[in-house]
Amino acid sequence: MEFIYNNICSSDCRSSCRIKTKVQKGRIISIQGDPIDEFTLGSLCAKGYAHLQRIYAPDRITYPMKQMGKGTGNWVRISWEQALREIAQKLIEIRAKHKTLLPVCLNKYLGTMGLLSRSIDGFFNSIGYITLMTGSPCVATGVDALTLSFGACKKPPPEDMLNAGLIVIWGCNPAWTTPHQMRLVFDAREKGATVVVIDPVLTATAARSDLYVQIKPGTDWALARGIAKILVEENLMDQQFVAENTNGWESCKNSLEQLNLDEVASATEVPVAEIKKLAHLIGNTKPMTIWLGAGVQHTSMGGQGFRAIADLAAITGNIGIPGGNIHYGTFDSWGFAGEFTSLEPPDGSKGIPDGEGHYQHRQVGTGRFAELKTMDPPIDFLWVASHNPVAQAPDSNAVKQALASIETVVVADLSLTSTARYADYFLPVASHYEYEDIVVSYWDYGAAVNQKAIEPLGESKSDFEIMRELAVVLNKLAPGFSTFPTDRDATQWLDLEMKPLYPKLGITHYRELINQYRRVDLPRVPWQDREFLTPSGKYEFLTAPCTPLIHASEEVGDYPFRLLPIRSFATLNSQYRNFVSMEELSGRSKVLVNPKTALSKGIEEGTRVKVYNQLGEIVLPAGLSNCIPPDIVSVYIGCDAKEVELNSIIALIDTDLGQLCSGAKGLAFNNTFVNLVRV
Amino acid sequence: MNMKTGICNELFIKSIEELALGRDIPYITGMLAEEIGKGVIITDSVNRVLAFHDPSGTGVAVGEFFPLNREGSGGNKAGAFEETGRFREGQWATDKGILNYVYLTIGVPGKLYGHCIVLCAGRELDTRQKMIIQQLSLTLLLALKESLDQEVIREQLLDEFTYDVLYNNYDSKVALFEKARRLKWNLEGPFAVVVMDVPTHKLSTARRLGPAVFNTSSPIYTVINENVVIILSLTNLSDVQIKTALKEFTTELLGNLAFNHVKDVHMGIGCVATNLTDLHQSFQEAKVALELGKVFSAGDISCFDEMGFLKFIFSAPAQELQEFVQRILGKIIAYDLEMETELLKTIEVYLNQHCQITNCAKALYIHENTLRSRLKKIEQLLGFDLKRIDHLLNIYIALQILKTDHYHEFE
Amino acid sequence: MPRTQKGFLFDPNRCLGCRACIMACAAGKDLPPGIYLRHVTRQEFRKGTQIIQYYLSTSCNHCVNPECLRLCPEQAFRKRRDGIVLHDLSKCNGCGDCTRSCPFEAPIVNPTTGKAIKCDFCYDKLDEGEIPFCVAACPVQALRQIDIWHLKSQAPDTVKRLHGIITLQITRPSIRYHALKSGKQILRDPVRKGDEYENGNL
Repeated sequence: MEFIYNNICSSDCRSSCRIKTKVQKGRIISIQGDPIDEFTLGSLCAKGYAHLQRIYAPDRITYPMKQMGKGTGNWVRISWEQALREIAQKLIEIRAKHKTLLPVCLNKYLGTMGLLSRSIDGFFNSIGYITLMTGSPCVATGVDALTLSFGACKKPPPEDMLNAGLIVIWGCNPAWTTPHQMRLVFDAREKGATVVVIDPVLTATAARSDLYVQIKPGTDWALARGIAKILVEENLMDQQFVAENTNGWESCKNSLEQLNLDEVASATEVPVAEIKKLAHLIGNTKPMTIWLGAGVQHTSMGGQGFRAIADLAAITGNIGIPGGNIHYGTFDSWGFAGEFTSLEPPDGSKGIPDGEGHYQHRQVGTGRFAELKTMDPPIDFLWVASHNPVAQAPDSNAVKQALASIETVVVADLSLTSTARYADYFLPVASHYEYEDIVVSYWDYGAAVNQKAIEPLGESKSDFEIMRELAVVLNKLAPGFSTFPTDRDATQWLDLEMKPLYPKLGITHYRELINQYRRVDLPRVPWQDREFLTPSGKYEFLTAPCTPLIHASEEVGDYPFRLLPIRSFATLNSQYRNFVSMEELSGRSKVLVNPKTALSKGIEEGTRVKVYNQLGEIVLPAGLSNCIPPDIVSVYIGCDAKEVELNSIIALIDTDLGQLCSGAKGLAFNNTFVNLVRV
Repeated sequence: MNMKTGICNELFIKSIEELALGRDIPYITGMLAEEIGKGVIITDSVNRVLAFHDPSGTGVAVGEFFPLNREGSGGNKAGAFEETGRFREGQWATDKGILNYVYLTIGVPGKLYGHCIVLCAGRELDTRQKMIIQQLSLTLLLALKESLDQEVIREQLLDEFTYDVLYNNYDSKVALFEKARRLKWNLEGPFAVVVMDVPTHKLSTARRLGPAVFNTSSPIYTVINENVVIILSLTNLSDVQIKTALKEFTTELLGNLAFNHVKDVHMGIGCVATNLTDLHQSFQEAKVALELGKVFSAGDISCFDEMGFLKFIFSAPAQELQEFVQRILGKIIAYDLEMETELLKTIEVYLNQHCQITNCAKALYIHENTLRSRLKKIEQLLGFDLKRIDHLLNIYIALQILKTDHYHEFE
Repeated sequence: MPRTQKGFLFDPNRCLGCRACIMACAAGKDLPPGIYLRHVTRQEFRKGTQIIQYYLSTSCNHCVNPECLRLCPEQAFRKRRDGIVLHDLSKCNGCGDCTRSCPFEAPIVNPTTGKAIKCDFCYDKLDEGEIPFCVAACPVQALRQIDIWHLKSQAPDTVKRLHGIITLQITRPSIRYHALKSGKQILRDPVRKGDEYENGNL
């Protein structure tokens, strides 16, 4: 007897693919893309097709474990009862000792986009004021930038790209990160659109473009300003849009007048003549749409870069029109009720005063693990869920040290990640095929129910069940410790959270989403009303003067090569990297080097190379490619071998924005410099 | 058909009745010949002699094909054959001397079915005889059409079955033999497989131009993937006899093809297959021989077991061959791509010109000094010495392999 | 079954190198981890001052002249009337001759069974009127299944080989390509034509 279930990939990805899952005798025998999905048209990505390997991975752990000595690998299998009791006791102990739960820290990110994972935040809200790792290692900088310019992040639906005459893909390799959208890019091109890719690396996307502009990393800001200057000088502007709908134009224009194009050319390493051609293309092709990837914002000037690029859309009046605007991201499709996040701690809980007579959580920026021990009171308890910071946060060694120094570390995950190796307790999480959940895409706004296709493997539990049961245990040991409504089941939670979205989805209960494709009804064209959400109600130009910044070059010193971590088709951050098949497919982990660089360092294809800087070193075989410029070396994120942690040589450097919306500055992953030597 | 008289001859009516009664082409040919008292030959569209009735006793012998002289008729392009109903004249060189003949095209507009050939000079025929010839040609047209239609059906069945045999596409050997018997295959091995490449629009003609008999049985003529494929039974032939018989067969076939204006013919012959169930291997070999023969201009006919060092090379795993080429010539291929130069062509011509600078420069239309500097660049890139025979041999072999890559066949 | 020749039509101007085709095949055919019936390779070479980069997805090309069929000692290969080359597992002795004979490395010996395995064009799906897993998985329709005999009407401008790749055509592989197009590139460090060669940096 075969059963077919509807699932949706919950990885942090633009596509959020709908999946048809075939189950026989309680075991998933196959998964296929669901053809009713109007964005994916029923195709998955390489990782998606490998989901079975993830669910039934040999290294998946399906029972709770306790490590006798962090990092020793001396794990002992324990019962859920013991795990939750000991963890609960720890929390009770901390509150008794400190009269507050500030020494408790939660580090949770987007390991799953499933709505129920918000129960983790909900649980910690329900026990007291804790220390919350906030911010986004991914989008914080860009979100702030666009919020400053537009007042909010809004984007057109994917299909609006078909209306564009010019598609500028800036710092993004959708061929490997959003392949489904490439269908629309190609279709737009067949309708006559020109595709421009601006990227330091000749990516798979760049190779398929009509015009590829190789830019020196971190100088996107300068290039965008240079283009803007030409647009103004040659009057390739939408004067009416600028006059009626923007603010700050005069000072923006003044700063552009100060800009010297030769200096832009020498900073970006794009010749003046080519910048002019690019400006002409942008100024003369309407509608133009810009696709901003994560690349630009992961540099120290990333926020300014985003704003300068957005200004190009404003100057040319490509905002609020079909085929225009910026494709980045939006939170508008996530208009949930916030039932979890609004859970209140028990009366009398103490935290950080918010200045209005209330308390709030203490915040620490994402990735800033070294700060955890220097806080007052310091962190004694860390819960890591949906995240693998040793692999993902900058300076892995600092993260490991922090984890080693915290008294109790709990990691909830599917397998022993590099972070879990530094945990005291490992809690086995069920894969998303093993419990009902909902995923709403932030790209095409598709909302889908993820049905429970099989029972949780072994003793594994969903994050929601773990949190709920921990609340039960806590309240048994210390009545009233948590306000978490433990008698409410997952279905009720999902219904409550989804209620505000029902009208926008045209449904009355979330289960109606099974077997039908529905999108959260957002405007086809954002900003069509030209009512921007900035304080002025207008689009806000970047007004910072250009000249001082363009002269501020980065320190090179002993480390002459910029290390660009780039995305592979085979992994999503550190997810999927434990797949045997993926390792083979991606042609082994490599450090990608320009042949010129290789020649100067005596490196050949396959030579083992030590990549090092002040933080540490990693050793990988070399892969030679002309697609990487000579002053850059690249390593695929998550394609590092099991014992090699790419981020051990990634420096923790703040970007220029991020605090406004996410509570912490973004991380400049692309600002690391290294040297190479063959070993 | 042009019927000036408008009167139906009695013989014509009778011939139609006879046809309806199941009489065949030779019978009707006989009726016609006896009536006009001249020798009559009926051929099909490819000039194969279907009937010869000689009441006047010329004693002349006719072969499988009649050498119809159709000069000035614009070849036999489909739809462009001569007007029907018109008598033309020709001469036939026989062992009994030159014979005059008159012929009439049998067909309908757009489709040729054959010819009616009367052995006499045009002036020897009176109006009535001409009318009878014209009218009986109508009867023969019906007969020929019927026989061609049946032939097409038979060919379709044969093609499918032969495809299955040659591509191993069957489940039971017993069923295979049974079906072969029904299609009148000679099941006695060993066999030879000949694969023949002719222009696509000539395929259906070419398959009908082969000798009717080979080694006492009928060869199988079929079309597979735009090749004519011929299966010959070699029963009771010694190795030496096989060679001679195949030689005679292919010579005759090529002659027939040439006579029928089928040009650009290449043949590949596989090794001898012992059984029906080994035919697939011989078939693949024949195709390999054909492809190699075409690439290396090794004449019209290439035998797999006579491919010499080419076969030696191509029996190596293809993957290794590719790697070999990459290793030997990779650098100049990459250089040519990047620099838009012609080093590969230069070295190829150089070897073809037996390493003679003057001849090579001439062949390439370049100055000798230019050639010298190119050769120097090649030596520098490849790290080879073009005076060393072992280096030259490696380059030569790599070039031979590469040739198969550049090969373009029609689609 | 009418006689024809099934094949693949590959568009290097659309292929993203995303490997969905490989994994869809592996998942659909329930292959053991690490065993694939399709390969995607990155091609990179320089042309003038430009860098040409594209991806190529290949599997069994269901050749008109299949070398596997010629060289298999067990006669385990057959070619259907629609041109699909099939491998009969029950006849296979795992000798690997087919693997070595194929210019495209299509048949491989599956270590878990010790027998050869290769792409079967998902003939069972085809017989049901569906399309192969790899073709269905391509998010940008870079890989299509075609009828080589009717190619001219389906895709008039195709070529038999792609720039910069050496392939032996002797087996007459049933794959056609769209000719590669390249856009303009503004490179930071453009190599002047022949720079590398003139400096003797070989």
